[in-house]
Amino acid sequence: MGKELRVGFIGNPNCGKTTLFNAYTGANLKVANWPGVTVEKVEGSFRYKDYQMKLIDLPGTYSLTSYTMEEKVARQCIFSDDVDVVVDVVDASALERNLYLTLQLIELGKPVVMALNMMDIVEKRGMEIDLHRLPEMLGIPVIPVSARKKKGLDILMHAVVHHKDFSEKAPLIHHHDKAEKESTHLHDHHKDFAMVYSDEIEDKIDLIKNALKKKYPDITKSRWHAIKILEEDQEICARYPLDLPQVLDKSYESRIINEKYDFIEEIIGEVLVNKDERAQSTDKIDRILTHRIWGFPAFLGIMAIVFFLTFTIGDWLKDYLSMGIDWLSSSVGSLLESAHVSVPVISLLTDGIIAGVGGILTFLPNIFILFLALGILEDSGYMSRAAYVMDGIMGKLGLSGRAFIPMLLGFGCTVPAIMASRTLENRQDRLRTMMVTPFMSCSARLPIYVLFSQMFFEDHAMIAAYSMYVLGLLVAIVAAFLVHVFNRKNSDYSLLIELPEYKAPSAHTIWIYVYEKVKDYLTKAGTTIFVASIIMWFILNFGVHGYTTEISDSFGSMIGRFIVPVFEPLGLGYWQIVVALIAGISAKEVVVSSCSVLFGMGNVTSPTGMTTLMGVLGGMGFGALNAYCLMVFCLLYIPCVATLATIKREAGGWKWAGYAALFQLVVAWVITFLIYQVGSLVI
Amino acid sequence: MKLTEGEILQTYVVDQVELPIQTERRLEALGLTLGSSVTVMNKKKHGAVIIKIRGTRFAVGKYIGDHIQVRKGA
Amino acid sequence: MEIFGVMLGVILTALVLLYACWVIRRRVRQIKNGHFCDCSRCSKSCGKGSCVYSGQQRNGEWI
Repeated sequence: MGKELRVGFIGNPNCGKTTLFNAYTGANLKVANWPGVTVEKVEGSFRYKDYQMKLIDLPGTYSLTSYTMEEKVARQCIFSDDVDVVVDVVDASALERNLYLTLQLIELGKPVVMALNMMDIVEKRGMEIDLHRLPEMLGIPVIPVSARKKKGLDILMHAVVHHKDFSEKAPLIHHHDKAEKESTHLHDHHKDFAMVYSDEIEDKIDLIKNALKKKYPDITKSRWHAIKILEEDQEICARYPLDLPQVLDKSYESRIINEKYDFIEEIIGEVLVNKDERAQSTDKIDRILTHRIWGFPAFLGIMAIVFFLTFTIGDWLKDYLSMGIDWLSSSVGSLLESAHVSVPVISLLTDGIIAGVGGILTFLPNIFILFLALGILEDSGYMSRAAYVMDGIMGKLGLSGRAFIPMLLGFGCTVPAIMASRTLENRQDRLRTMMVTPFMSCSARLPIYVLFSQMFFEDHAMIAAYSMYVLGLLVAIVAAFLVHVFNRKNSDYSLLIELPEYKAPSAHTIWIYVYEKVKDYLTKAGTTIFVASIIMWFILNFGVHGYTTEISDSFGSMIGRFIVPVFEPLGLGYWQIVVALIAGISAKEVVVSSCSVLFGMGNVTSPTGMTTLMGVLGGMGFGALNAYCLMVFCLLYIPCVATLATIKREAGGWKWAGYAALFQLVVAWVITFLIYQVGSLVI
Repeated sequence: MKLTEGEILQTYVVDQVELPIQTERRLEALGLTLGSSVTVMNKKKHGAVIIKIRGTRFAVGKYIGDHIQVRKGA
Repeated sequence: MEIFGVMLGVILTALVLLYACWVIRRRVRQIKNGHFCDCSRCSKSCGKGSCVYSGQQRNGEWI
């Protein structure tokens, strides 16, 4: 069936590796985990000539030490039979830093091909890279590509296929001049290896190699292993212990790194022309966005824009969807009526399912826009600036600025945000982040805000909704501070994050991201919300006497009325609201679906639906202040089941999930109480 | 002086690094080696610093910045 | 004609309930396997935390 070739893609974070990978594999990816670890393994395949190319996207990394799981995994994979050829994706505009990994890869001993990405940026800046000299000095093929513009993709694969045998190496031409002539080392390595160290080190490498071959005759790539042992690499030293006290008198890691960088400087000096020192556009933008005073307001401003778009454009599209659902509801209703289907069944289908699920589907445009905006922000490179800006505040709370990005992702969904807290090494930090992240308003609460702010705040709807996000952020900060006060263990963290160049977001990448989110939303609607709506319908239409259309006789109303006293001081003393809130534990969107079912209308979100609902609520004494309190309570109270389950897993027990639930419930109650009481006095 | 004491848009040379070994190696892998140049791009009053090492920008927390000693230089 | 309506009603209700049961079973199975949200990344992988970021920085590696 043709030959198979296994290619591993590796490179620094932010070098465009994933974009390049996607360009070959499309969206046909298989995402899994490396066995036993939490590092992601992404595989794809495609056909090139008569080869079936199997691609593995290795974790983005700056080097291949054994300090992190990602590096160890990448190293192991390249070594194994899973990879025949390595494609080193290099960001041409940051050549100097990227070359460090390149040198390490070459030292591993497997065939390497360099994909010099982002060449278009290099050209734009007036820089030039000598594409003849670079491969000469490195001894590997160098192929310029532009993943975004899909240029050079074929040539790269061509080089990969041809380089796999590695027998014909490109000639290595160095000009070390003085150093070479004065070298006392026995061998002239310059023809065989790109990276040649100082005599002292080369001498030791030879001694170690001989010792290795004697003690472990089956060892391959002995030079690499020798270098690693000289660096006192944990993994290698454990696997191939040697007794050479004079040779291995200390760790040479620092020196080896330095010598590599000396060589890199040499390469850059020869290969890079017109090294750009002017303040590039990224720096100019950063002067404002990371300004010590204006950075934070800029951040708030950008978030405000995101929500502005989410609300205004989203709403405009929402109205159309609303009409569609309305139409569906009435059509189905009259169709079944004419077929003489019994009333309860019709009610189940229209007032239960179509109302509940349909109500949520109408918010799809808002969701779409929200994730589109978040995707653009991240792909453009802004997110790391946000982490920098927030680092100061985070620090005062005992959290790392790095914890902020997962929290910001909480604006999308809390579950991945909590899982992302794994990047924090300290358990205390992780727990704290988990307790606090759910306060950051997730996208599931968006329908609640949109619905109620539109009904009760009209022209100020957007401000009301935006205030929820700000409030969530504030409460998260205060909560983290409180937790910090009770738990004063000093975390040894510090921010260390790369700020990539700003770039025009790639439509392809964003499309994949948004598509997945939209798919998730629809899946949720069709499953969790579907079931929740049915259950809602049931408890609201069945009472002690069986099926009833008198809603106040239903089980639901009995449950609601029982709990209502707790909510009265919050301005939420309405049993229908209570029932909706309880239902919201399954998924926050269900609060909206429940309202559809509770207040007995086909579709709460259509203009007529909303007016009717407002009327009904108004008649019960529910006004703007109550609506605001409802939104606040929804923002802060118990997280949805999915989040609780995630906390349980990440924190290691239901105990923690329980704490989180209780903590949030109490915070929600207290703050809503304050707002309602103070509000009632003021208004 | 400490890296966090550096002035914006000034370039310095790294003299000493006193950090846990893992962090030190991480920084070295990124190019922050003894004798290398570092430019301070932006900084907060008492906090994180944005630096440029070998052409790449990094945001570095106060703790790390305080434990990197630099001297003025090209 | 009446009977047709009753039958149709019964069938529809049965379908709805069957679907609901299927959803619940699937959810329970998912949670047991470690997939918590409806995040498609979560259901693609083994749920060990790989649904961390958007397409760009997949492995959650900031540094």
